[in-house]
Amino acid sequence: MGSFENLNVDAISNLPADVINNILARLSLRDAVRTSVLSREWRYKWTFIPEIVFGYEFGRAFLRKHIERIIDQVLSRHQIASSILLFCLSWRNCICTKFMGTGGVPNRFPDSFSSLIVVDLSMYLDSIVEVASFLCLIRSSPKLQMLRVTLCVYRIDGAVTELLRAQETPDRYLNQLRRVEIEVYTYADPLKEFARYVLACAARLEEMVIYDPKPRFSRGSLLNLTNELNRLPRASPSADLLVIKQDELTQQC
Amino acid sequence: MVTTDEKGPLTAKKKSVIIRSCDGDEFLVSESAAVLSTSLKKILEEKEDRLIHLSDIDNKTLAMVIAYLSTHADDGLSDDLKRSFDQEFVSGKEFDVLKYLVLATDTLQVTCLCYTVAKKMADIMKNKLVEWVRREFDIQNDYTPEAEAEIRRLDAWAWDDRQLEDD
Repeated sequence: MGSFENLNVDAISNLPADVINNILARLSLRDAVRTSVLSREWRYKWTFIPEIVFGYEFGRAFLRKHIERIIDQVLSRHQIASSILLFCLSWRNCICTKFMGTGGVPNRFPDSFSSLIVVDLSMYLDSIVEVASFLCLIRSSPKLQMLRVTLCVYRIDGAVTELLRAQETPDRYLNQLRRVEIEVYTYADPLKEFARYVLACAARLEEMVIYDPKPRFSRGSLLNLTNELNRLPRASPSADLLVIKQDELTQQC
Repeated sequence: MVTTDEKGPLTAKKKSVIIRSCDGDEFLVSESAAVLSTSLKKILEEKEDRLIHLSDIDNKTLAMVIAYLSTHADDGLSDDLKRSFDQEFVSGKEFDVLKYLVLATDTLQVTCLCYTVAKKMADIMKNKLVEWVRREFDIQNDYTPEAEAEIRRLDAWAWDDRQLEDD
């Protein structure tokens, strides 16, 4: 074989770190964490994966456990928490299911996600449990700086709009939030209420970008939304508000 | 300027480069294929040399990488065809072969192929018991039983072995 013979201590342990990262990043979080017991050399390898994805498998295992404690444990051991920490939780299976059929969704978790910097998820605005769980999640993340959320809707539920409208503003959460990106498939009231809530609470907000991925909304409706949102009170007066089409977002980045 | 006289007839083909493996085999590669490797692209930009010697990639691995580069440089192939080529490319390959491939793609900075191969390697390890991984890759467990138990306790959530495979 090639001239990498000195690597043949065993089949994989001495691969270069970025190759190992590449492999571990393609395992589920659970499989990646499990590599820590292979041998001492593997103890911390998983903690350098560039992004942590709390996926479906993770959610299925913890319906009735202290998921927030586990997530925080994982995040606090991860080495590059300050750089790119992605939280693509298939959270519908984790957090929402946890609250289904219980006494309701709390305002926030008893333990916070103290290492969570970036939240990236999609949400159906039809489900009040989902929206309440989402609010609970972001309020439980005191260091949250970046929020990227895809909002979908099949059928508008007045109760969801009411829930969002009833959120106390300003509240003391979201105060580290710098950037919010909202991908929208609806311009309905729940979106406006959600934007209103974030604008009213996030005192350090630098930019909120609402974008239309298709794009399928007219220039006029984008403008109307911009005007409507521009009239809302903001906790961070200097925050930019952009309502744009997908291609404009690419240009901007 | 390098002239054809100095470098022999192979350089007469202006848009090709010769890549030599560590065991001396030479491959004639179109420049459009070679530049899909970030490292080769840099080398070609920096000097006019049409012969590139790769001191740590063997001929079998290099032949595979070049087949990949040539396919992906072929404008006549649709993206779908390229994707199915990628699937075919890694399927059925031994872990050892994948390992040399992934190292080569790391050296040559062929990002897409590196991802494809790493994904295949991860698929092999997916849903497997730790014991299986140790056995398969001949990893020596140098933990004391107490230390291992302690680590398993730390991330207890990851140790529900019910859905894992041992073959």
